Amino acid sequence: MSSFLSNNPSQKPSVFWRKYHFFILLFTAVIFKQLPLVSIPFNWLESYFHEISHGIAAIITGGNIVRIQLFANGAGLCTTQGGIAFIISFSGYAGATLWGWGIYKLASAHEQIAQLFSVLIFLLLVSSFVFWGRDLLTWFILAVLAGIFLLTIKLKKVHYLQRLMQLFGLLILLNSLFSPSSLLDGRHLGDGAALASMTFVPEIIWVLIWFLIALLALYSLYKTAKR
Amino acid sequence: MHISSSFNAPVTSGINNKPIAPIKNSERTAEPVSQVEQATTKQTQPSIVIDEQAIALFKENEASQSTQAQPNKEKFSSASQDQPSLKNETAVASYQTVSNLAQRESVQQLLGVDLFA
Repeated sequence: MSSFLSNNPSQKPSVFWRKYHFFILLFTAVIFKQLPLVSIPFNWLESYFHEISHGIAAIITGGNIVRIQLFANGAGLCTTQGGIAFIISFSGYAGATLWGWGIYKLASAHEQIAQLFSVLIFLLLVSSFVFWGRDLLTWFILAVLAGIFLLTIKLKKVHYLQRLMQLFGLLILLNSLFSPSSLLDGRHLGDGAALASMTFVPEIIWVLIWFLIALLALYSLYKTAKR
Repeated sequence: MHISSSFNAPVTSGINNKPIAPIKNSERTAEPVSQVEQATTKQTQPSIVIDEQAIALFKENEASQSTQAQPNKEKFSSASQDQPSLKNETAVASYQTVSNLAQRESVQQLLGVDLFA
């Protein structure tokens, strides 16, 4: 595995890795998403970045986060007070896409940057645990996610951390690519329905916008990986 | 001797005469006694003087006693029904208003929040 991931250009797997590492990671992420138990923490990860994006948007637009709730099935709930409702609603899926894209990009930039970013996400998770978590299940999920990031920080070989962060980025991005489609269930619930009632633009348009943003982010990462 | 003659004569005469006379006297004297009693009773009846001031004072005392006893009676009856007095109810209500202020504020804050799934 180490030779497979090696950066040494003299080794064949390294060339293969350099050429196809994006697709290898993407394929690994798709496989992870299909695995029944392994996929659960990654669903929590996407759910957390979705909810924290709502919260950050609330803070940026002058509001504040009252509470963040995460559920075992990957669902989440962000309770905010004040701020611009349109931006807060829109930033859930768009923000998760941005997080996935950013994690992959920064991890690809440099090993040290990947490490620093991992520490920052760990601190964000700890802050969410302390300030916005209010129930046992949310605390547990946040603790598991913080534990995952702590393990990646503690990795002796920073190179693996870089790959892991890239994998996390792609997993978040894949979730934010497909999860908006779950809004089209005819129940008129969720962020799409909220935006539709605010703007009179149908819910499907918002779902398509989110899907396109995630697709563009994925394409951007592919372009970066090709270089 | 003199003594004995003198002793007999008056005794016999005395015995024969005395019991009739004093009884009669006593019967007669009984009449004046009853008359005296009647007279005394007649004299005591008019001697009861109705003091208007005393009656007024008594009535006043009675009235004040009844007013003092009435709240106690009310309190007792309300306590038996397990109901606090109006004064206590007002005090409890004002106390609860203060304690509900914080709760009301938190509910208002809750109503002003948005949920994003």
